[in-house]
Amino acid sequence: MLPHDPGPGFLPMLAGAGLVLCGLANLFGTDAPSAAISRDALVRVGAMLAVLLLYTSFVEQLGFVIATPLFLAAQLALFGNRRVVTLIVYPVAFTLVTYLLFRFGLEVALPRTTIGGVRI
Amino acid sequence: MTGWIEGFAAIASWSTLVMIPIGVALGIAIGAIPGLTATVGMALFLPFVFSLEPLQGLALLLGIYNGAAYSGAIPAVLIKMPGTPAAAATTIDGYPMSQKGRAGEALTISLVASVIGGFLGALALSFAAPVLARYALNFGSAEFFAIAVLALTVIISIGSEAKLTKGLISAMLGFLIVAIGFDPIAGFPRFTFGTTQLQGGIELIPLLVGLFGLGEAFTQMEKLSKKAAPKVSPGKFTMGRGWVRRLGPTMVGSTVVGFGTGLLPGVGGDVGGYMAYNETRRFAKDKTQFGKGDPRGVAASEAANNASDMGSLVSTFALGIPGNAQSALLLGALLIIGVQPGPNLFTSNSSLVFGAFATMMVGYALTLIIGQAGIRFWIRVVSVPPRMLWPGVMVLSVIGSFAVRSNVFDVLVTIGAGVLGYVLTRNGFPLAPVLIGVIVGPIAEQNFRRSMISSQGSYEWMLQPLTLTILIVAAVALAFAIWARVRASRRLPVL
Repeated sequence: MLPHDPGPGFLPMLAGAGLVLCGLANLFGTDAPSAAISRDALVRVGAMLAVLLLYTSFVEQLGFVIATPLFLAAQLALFGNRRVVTLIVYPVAFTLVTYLLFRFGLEVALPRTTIGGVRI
Repeated sequence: MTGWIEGFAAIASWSTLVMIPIGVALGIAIGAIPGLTATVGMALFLPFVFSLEPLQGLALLLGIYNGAAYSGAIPAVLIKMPGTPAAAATTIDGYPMSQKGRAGEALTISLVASVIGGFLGALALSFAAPVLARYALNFGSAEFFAIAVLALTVIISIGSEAKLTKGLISAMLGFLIVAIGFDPIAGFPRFTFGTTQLQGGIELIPLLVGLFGLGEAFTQMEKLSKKAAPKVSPGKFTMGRGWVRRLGPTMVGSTVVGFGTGLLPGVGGDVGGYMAYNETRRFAKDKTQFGKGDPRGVAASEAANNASDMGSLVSTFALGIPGNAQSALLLGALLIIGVQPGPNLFTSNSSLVFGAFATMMVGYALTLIIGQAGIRFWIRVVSVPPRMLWPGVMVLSVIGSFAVRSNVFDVLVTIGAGVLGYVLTRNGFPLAPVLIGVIVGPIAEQNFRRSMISSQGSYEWMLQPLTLTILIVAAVALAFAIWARVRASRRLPVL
């Protein structure tokens, strides 16, 4: 290490100390407490997170074109959409457009799978 | 002069030129949707920038930057909710105008004022930035450290309404996140927990896309508003005859105010908008209509916030230190494509910089056309149901972060950042300082350490005239912010 360099630990220590100090200071002073989360909302947000993690775990196995419409439909349902058009047409269309855009427009490799010998 | 020729020559290819209207249209749509800000929008399209040519990617991002700077006014006028924070001052007179059936007029004024402010601002930018860059060629690590501190201080104190301690906490979280990986000077691993994934550090795109995009999606899921947006009949879209005489001086004056406030690193469009509004009112002979639907209020705010965005780009391009949240993102984009912003950019890559300026001038001209031609469509965009929009944003966030290097770890980063963004937002912590901490933190750290190394461990370099002046300005900004908060109300949060 170069002489007189405060070192790699300098910034983390500063930030850490600052966080502790500001955290404590934050306790003082009047501040409207943030609204408590309703149980209903907590369940929805939790479900949203769970679907996200499931998608991330399975997208490489299922392939982008299969996993994504399912993911999108699930999130749309969680957001309260109930119409068939929204839950089926929108996810499929969205997946198709983004697939074409990313794969052929930007030449980005999206996770693929093989069905009946065909890689999609 | 040669810079201009280079710049326009650089963008004179169809593949680049086509990106400008695409970016502008995207930007107008993004800015018009409440809850979706320019920062989020630009973050969502960062993965595209990654795969495009540098100038093409810049043209897209800058188009979004410019388009959204105008269209934040649309929901501000129609439903009293600014589409972007910069349009906050536009609601003051814009919404009352809409209530009186003059929404169309307000929208047209917003558009013209935005384009004038932006175009003149871009012109000023193209003159100011090279001058600053040339001057900054003499800057050393001491000066850059001071400016970085200034940017951080200003954005925490003036640029945000939250409690100062919360802003500081956000910024320090940014520091810690960006510290993950190998330290830039000594190569020492930090926060890597021994894993190779973390040794590379946290990729910027997944972090930003998660923090701003996915985080907002979580917030929207919690709110789950099922209300339909109210229908508005805009009335006529003309500004009335003699608008140049009535509103011209306001627009030009506000452009100057806006550009000037934008120059200070860390000050964003909303501050410029409010300042121009206040100054316009102060110099107005007839003040009675302000707050009740005076067109000058709308013109002032919109001209200023666009000009301010241009002003913010001066330090972004010339010094490599961002002037607001969106330009911090732009800096991130430049780093991703391998361009190092700063004084040397003008000597080493002037066609890129001037190409960017040329893009914006063309972009603002196009904004006028696209904005006016499609105004009835843009109005409809305001009412896009959140419950259909945000799932789409989620998918884009996830694919976008995956597209960076086809690594699932990045998607996990995005999800983690999304949770962080959600938790921070719902507890009143501002997100912009996190972004600034991530982008400016390394600048501050590296220059501080280099200064210490060069000065053999003494702090004397901080006492050099320019460095000291800048640090004092930062301290003054902080003191002013504390004073302003105390004055605002003794019962509201101060620290």
